Amino acid sequence: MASRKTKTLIFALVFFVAMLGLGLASVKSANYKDVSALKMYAEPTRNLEVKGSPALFQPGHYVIKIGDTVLEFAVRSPSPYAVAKRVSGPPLSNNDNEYAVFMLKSSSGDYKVLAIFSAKTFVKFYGPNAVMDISNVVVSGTYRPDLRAHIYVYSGRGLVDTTPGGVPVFIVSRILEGCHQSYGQPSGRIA
Amino acid sequence: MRRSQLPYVAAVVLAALDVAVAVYAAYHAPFPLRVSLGAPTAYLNIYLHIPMAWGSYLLYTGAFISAIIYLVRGGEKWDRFVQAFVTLGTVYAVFTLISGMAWASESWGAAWSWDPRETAVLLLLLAYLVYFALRSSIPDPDRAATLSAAYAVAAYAMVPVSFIAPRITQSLHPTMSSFGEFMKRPEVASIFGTRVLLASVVALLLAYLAARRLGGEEPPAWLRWVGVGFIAAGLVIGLLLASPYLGGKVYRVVGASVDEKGYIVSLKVIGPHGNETIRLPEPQPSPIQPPFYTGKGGEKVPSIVSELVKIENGRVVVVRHWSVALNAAAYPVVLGIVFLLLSRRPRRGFGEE
Repeated sequence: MASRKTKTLIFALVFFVAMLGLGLASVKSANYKDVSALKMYAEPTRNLEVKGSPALFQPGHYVIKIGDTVLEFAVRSPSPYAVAKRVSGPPLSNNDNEYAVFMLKSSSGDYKVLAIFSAKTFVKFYGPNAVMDISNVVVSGTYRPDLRAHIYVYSGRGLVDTTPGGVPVFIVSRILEGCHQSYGQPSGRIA
Repeated sequence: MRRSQLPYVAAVVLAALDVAVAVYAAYHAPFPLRVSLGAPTAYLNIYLHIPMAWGSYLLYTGAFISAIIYLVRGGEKWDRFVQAFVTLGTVYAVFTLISGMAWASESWGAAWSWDPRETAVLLLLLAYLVYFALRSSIPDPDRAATLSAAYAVAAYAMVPVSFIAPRITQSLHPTMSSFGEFMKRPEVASIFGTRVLLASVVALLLAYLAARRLGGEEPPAWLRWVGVGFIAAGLVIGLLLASPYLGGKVYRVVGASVDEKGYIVSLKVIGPHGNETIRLPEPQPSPIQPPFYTGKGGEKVPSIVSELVKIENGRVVVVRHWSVALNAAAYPVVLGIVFLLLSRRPRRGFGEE
């Protein structure tokens, strides 16, 4: 009787270890792909989820050219994202005139994409005052390697291209933002 | 009153107290004023979702320990505890999953994102659902008890997996270290701590009563009315918290003009038909305290910005995100259903109904 009990307990513990391994492997595989994984897509591809860290836009006046579309924005203090206005050319999504733009870097820092999200949609659903985690952002949307974005900044010599050769574009449909940064913010309550 | 009824009375009183604290939290607890996405009031779910998640971990831990004791020492009592802990733990885990999805729909931008911890909790739930299938598929009661206890030990592996998921991989869920900063604030710690403590004690008491019922104990007749009362209370709480959505427009504030005293003069909002500016008949105190916080550039930001609001008789009223109403209402409803199930007479003896 005792040996049967011992056998059952050993079986249970072995099964426990096996499930622990399977669970850890499943969770690891549920991790989001790095932005650099987009390199494998040569054609526009929908419904992708990738993570990257936003490069800080330094203070200055910027112009983004994507094909015939020209966007402009100004940054006053270093920021992981900016809201750019469409000044000419066709809209990039729906009929938008303003876009939240992020330069997402891969974990190694050697691959970048310009993530573009309709500012109207962003504010409508998520509010105007988002605090962005500057270490990581997870986005979902359509990868557009056929579009190349050139980001210029005004300097004393005129417009300087900060992205020679251009960077591919990711049209964001959702930002799956973590809430880690929120817990460090000031708190209040409903009076 | 008979002494055997004391645990029932304790469970009902503590559950009622816990519901009262949960409702107080939904109305008055502090929340971060500046958040990554969505309405800051959605973060009131901290006080509703997390205590239930920890409650499910606690119950599954109870099942794990009871199962090991059963496998080592035997005894029908321990098998009943395994069943009771697994059943209650699964109820709590389902609540955790649904309440988390409602919260995530606002604060993460999507109800389901295959986030590592979301995925781990789903796997945890599926692992424990197999427990019920396994147990009911074995006709011999002794064999069913032994095999399902062995399985309960194995299934517990998913608890540490889901707990450490945000640490071992990138997750939208915060780790304890990032959440801890918020928790250190005394006004947060007191409400959150009370909720965690009460929810845990109530969970353990309910599991204990479920185990007694599985042993053939007759529950007190009044328990079913307690169950009905909790369900009714949940519906009333839900109705009260969701009432702003039932009539009139709810706006998201995207800008506010506020005077030096913190009084709101006008609001820039996004409503069902696009951007609007609402000028108030007269300046009024901010419904969020403090009325300002310091932004990332050192500027003063009105706390009302990003909130969901309604204008009632010229006054700005903050509307809690619907997930708060849903989760605050669902908790007493779930407790009510558990009390109703506990109030049913056991049909047969040990381990079988």
